[in-house]
Amino acid sequence: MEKLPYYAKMLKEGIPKIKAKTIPDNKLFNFAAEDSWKEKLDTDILDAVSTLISEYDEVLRRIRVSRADIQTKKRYKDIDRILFSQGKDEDFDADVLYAEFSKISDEHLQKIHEAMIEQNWHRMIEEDREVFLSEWLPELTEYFDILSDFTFSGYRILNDLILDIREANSAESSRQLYRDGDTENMVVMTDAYVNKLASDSYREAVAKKCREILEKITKPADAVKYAVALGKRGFMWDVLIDYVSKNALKVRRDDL
Amino acid sequence: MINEKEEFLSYINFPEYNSHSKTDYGYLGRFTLEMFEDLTGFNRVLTILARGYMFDEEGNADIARAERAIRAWCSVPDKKNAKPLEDWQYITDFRVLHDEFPELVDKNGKGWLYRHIENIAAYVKKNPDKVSQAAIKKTNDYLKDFEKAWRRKVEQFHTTIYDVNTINGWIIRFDGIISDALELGPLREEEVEIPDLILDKLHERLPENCIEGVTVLIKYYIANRQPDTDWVVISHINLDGYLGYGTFTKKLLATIPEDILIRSTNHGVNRYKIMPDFLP
Repeated sequence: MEKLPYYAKMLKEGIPKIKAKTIPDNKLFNFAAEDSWKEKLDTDILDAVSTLISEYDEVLRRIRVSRADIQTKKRYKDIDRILFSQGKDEDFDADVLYAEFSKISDEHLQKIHEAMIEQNWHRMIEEDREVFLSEWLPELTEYFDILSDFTFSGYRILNDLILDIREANSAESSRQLYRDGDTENMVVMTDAYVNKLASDSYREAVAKKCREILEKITKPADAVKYAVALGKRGFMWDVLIDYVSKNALKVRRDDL
Repeated sequence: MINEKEEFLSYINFPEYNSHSKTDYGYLGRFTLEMFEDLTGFNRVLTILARGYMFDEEGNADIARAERAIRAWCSVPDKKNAKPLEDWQYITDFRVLHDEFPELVDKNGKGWLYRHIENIAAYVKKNPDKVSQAAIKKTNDYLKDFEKAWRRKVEQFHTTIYDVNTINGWIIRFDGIISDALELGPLREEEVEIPDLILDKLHERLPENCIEGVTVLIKYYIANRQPDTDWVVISHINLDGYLGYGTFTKKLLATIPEDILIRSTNHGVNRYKIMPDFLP
């Protein structure tokens, strides 16, 4: 069982990656027949569409991050294994340590980590470990025995805890949907997601609002050209799907 | 396993490359084919080596010497046409340590392990009638694969335990080996004897093929028991290397009744308790 991740890795390495083939614009779209079609586009509109697409992508990215499960406690297993090896697993649970450490501010955790590296925590003699812990974590005296037991690589417990909690903290801040300096378009699109009906998908909600904004810039039929010119076919499918067929050439798949 | 000094010597002196039957793996020394194939079990080997080179007779620790010794032992010669290393790249060829540790690395950068594997492959090739089919299959052309895989491992050994990008787990690091060696202290060489009374009880209860393994486990238990827990952790892969066969840990151990020993496994760690009736 414990070799499964290894086999999965080997399997991944052994399978050649599929390379997607990009089909040139002039084979797909009627407006792209002439080589100079891009030059005929309005540069102001092109800039506006380009900005909107970046804003749209950023809003979607934040939403995806906020919806993804945070993979925290990546080092939990390591701590658990050390406690198991030390024979402490029966009367002690690593979750208690996680709970205690999550109360500590991120800045303080960072300072402890720097001090650990500077003072070579993993090579400290027993007496110095207690001194170090009393200096940096005076409120956790009841866990000093656990943290300063270096048998079975026990010096890793403190390091594992700090890195895991700090990762969880930074994941938390990266899950914020609204941030300082957001443009009006971003706020409006994010609002659309936050206030969406439960039955709507998040992509639909954001795409619908984005379309409203886009229509103020240019007609949707033209917007397809700008999206294609910017190389953003994905955006076109999301936001302008009802106008794609009007601009598309009828070709057989085999001819591409 | 019990006499650590002896174990240390078996990691720095080449064994006699010989076998009396096809199932005799004596020419592997304290290693198993599995260890070479998966490159596992080296945590204990390197910790024993580090402790052997770290402490003097009085128990004073020379950390820097131990750091150099384990690097020398692990050395893999650079490829003939290898480009000079950039600053960020990790050294894997430690021929510069040859003068200090001639037994661990030769002047061409071949570390002890590298030469041991080279010797094994040569022995198997020359004596196909004296070794198992598995050994022939696994050692054929193995050196090239080993060289590549071990070089990658040794590169990883250089990373620090504080690196934010790694999840600790089973990764071996030179740094971690040294910390563990400091914690464990000088190598021990006391002999542990088991009274005849207990041996007789074992013979009464167990089939003959289990006796050696269980006896080793009892001795290891006595030698490694910690004051605050009844559990003792043992690395099965290193035990296989010590016994010279893997059937004990893989098959027989599970058949030992729980009134003799109790086992428990988690995250790949194996630990066990010997019941008081079987302890002196």
